[in-house]
Amino acid sequence: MSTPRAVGTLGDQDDNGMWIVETGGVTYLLNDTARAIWELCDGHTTTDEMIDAISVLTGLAEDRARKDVLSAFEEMAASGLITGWERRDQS
Amino acid sequence: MNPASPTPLAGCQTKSVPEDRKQVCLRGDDLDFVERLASSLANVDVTVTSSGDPGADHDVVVWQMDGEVPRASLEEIASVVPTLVMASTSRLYDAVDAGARGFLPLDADLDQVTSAVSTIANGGAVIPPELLGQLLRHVVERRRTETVRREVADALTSRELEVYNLAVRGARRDEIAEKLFISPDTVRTHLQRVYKKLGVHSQTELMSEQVGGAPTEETGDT
Repeated sequence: MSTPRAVGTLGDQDDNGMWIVETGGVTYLLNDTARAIWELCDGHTTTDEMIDAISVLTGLAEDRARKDVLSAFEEMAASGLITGWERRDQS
Repeated sequence: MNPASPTPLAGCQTKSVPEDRKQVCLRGDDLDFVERLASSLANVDVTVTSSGDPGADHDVVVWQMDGEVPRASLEEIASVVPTLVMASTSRLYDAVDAGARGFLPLDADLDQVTSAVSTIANGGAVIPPELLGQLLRHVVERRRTETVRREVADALTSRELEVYNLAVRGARRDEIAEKLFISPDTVRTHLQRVYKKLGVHSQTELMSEQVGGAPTEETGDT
């Protein structure tokens, strides 16, 4: 299980309440939930721990939480917003 | 539902309840707020009722609390009915740890509460966005602590666990011996086994390795 690490600098919110994150000269927008998950990526917390916490906190079934988190990570990894995430976590 | 329960309920309002409408139980220290909330909820097709302790016939409990979170009561209620807690943000962790499905600060307006009730009644959870990150981190840490506690409890005998619980709090060997009515040499033997099982080499290391306190188990140390 991987331990993703956030990459980039968190800025302010835009007019629509989205969080502005800049990395590699490119700006991305994250909603509140994505920002919270992104900030959990400290290089030590495992993907499983994050999924578990979200499931516990929201009451979402773990399968659903896993699907949502891994989907978000896939996008973040593709955008360079996290490192250390591996697709095998999706198993 | 226990009719003999002394649990006080505020803002009691009972209205005719069509079967398909939600049953919301309101509890609160601020009677005025509860009354206003009762009226507000009625406007969004949520019926307010309170005829005793929240029970399986309620869909949501809204519990507004001015002071500390009554953890045992909240755990009991939240295990039966999804519960929205309104409290100071300093109580957030206590409320969530006790199983609250939603949390709002005390200054949340009626529209926010109404929306939160609808969300929770439909199986969702309500966490203020600005608190989500810190709350997720808190839950991760809490789950780690629980895991460590389970591993410690599984690895040690009941006597070793008693010694461990005192040792991680910094008790000296003679203090542990006195408290557990055993000799200091026996304490040393138990400690050596504890160190070996937990992969540490000293009491100092034990204290630094343990996370958030160990499970208390019949140590008489209350």
